Amino acid sequence: MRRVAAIYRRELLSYFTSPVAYIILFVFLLANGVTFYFFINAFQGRIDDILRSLYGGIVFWFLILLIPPLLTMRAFSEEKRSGTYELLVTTGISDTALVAGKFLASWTYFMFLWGTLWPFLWMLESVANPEWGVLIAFHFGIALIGLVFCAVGLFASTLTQNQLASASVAMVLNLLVFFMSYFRSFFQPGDLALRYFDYVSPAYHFVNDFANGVIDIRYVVLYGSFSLAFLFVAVKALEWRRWW
Amino acid sequence: MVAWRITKPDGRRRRVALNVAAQLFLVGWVLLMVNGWVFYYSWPVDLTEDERFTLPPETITLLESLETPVEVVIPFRFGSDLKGVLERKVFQRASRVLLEMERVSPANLRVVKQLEVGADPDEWQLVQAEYKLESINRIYLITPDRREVLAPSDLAVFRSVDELALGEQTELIAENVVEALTVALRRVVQAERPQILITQGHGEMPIEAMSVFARDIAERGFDVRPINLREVQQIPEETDLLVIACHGTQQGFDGFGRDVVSILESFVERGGALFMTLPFDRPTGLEECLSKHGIDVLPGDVARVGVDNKGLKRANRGFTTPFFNKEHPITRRFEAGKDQAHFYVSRALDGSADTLLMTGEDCWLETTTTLRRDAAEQTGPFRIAMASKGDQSRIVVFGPVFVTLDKHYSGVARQTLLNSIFWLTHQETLSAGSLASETTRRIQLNDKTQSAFFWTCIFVVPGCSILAGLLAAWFRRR
Repeated sequence: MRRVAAIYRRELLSYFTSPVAYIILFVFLLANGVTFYFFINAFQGRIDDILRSLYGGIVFWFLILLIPPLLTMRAFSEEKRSGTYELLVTTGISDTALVAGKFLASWTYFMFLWGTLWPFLWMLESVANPEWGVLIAFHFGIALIGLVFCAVGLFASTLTQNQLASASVAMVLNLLVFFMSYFRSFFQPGDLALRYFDYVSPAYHFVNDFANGVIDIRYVVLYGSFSLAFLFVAVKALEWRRWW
Repeated sequence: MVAWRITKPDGRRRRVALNVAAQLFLVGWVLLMVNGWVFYYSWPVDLTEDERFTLPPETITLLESLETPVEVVIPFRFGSDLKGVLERKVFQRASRVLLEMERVSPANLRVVKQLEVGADPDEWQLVQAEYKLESINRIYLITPDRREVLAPSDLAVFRSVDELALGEQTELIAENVVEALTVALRRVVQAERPQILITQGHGEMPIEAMSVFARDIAERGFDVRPINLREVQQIPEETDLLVIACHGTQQGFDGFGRDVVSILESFVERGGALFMTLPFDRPTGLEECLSKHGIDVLPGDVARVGVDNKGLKRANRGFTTPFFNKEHPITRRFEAGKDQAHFYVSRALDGSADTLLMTGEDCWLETTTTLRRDAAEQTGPFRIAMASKGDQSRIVVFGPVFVTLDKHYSGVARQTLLNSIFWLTHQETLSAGSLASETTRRIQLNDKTQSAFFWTCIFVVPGCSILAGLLAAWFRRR
């Protein structure tokens, strides 16, 4: 646990001292700020619609799909490219501790990014009365989906030394998860298969549950189990590299 | 790399590969098993302020007890104007509630079609023909032999504004999605509608004057009809509930004669249910019958000193009830302090029957026409609604005279009345929900707020991130 904490601290510090992280933060805030201002005017101040669009519109999904691969692309790729990975493993830190520390750090930074939107929301609170339950549900949903996408990103990062290739692989995997909701059109409402697709579709969870202020606890199991599975595969990918 | 390969024997590598493959397979299997199990169990936590997506126990009981499966079809195409946007919003909420209903009882309720008409006209034509749909922007609840149709106006209260009213917009005043869907569900599966007769002929309140009350109970699956007591020898056997809404003498109520009283008494004696609001200035003739069932009507009416709309203190006949009987099915869901029923002109009651509503202590029983508190006059609290339950018969008497009148039929008073009707017809599992007020969540856009949002969203907050980055770089250098 101490080793996980040490890796976590090191990684988090590297996020907060890296210029790239601040560029990501700036782009993130600017994109959300412009969107937020645009929606305030487009929806003539109707809070429910503004929030629904801010946390479910195209910019939101673009950021959700893009940011985790950008945050995690250098996690192992950079270590391998620069040769520090071998150095790390010789210190006796297990692959599991390494993956866990890096994963927690990337997820923390991911949540920090979404946390920077709270000034907008407090500003909203000063002039209107947004429903805080719905906002909490939104951020809870973001935290859950962040778990999976950060785990996917880390897994992709273990596969290659090239950061761009790592981000691309993660992005493709994320898109596969996202486009799960498009398979809905192949089924009729009420079909069991449709219910399966709905269960694993993040877009569906956001539109039907989180956007309405409802948190279904089974999604914690879903996202938690998927992120654990990807982390496990990431550990195995690192182990595999020692033998091949 | 070659040296690396030489030092690792092939057999060992194969074993590692097999081991990893087995582990991955195991993880995949556990993943599938866990999610396959969790898929069938849902634990939704509703964080909305009014818990609008949580189904009340009555709805869950109804869903689980459905004998005929109900199919739901929702064809829609809302306009892009504000009215369309608001109606779409209400339908989205209804759709979410239906989803929850489907989750609770997937075998009994299924949303089989939910389609945007403009997006796929061919499919719409097929669906229209298959389910014999007549209009769009409706929720159809369909069983093999019956159907119920809900329009946006059944799910919420909209304030439509005349297009000529400049500066005003259509508003969503309140929504009632869960109750409207529950009621429609109940109607669509109900084999026989309980019959409610509203008495007329002795100057009782005309049905037209209490049309909202009559429509409200009819919408809840009751067969509502008038009955002229001057024209019948007895109340029909199949009557489940008799409603007597008395009025004042000035409004034409002339009391019941001996023959009518005996008809009513025999109806109650043979187990009939009676709902009654009292006249404020004369006896009805039924006082003796009510007294036998533990409900005594006191002389006079309730008065109190209140503040009028000019801010002046003066005695009047309007008041709110601070007391609800938490033990009785009719009033158990109301909270003193949170819920308030407003009434205007009420008789006071007494007796051994169950009290439903009571006035505050600041009221007195006005027995003269002076509307001034005299020392001899009895002071509150007074019972103003009571319920009696015999072997078969059930009686609810309301002191407030105008409670069924369209103008006064609203809020907690409306819910109490509806709950009384449910209790009297032995349908205690039902309960009238409140019309959840749609809280105004809107930014008042003016030049000042627009400018504040513009600068904060586009410059200040993103600018802070640049500043933080520069600070981090500076610290790093040091």
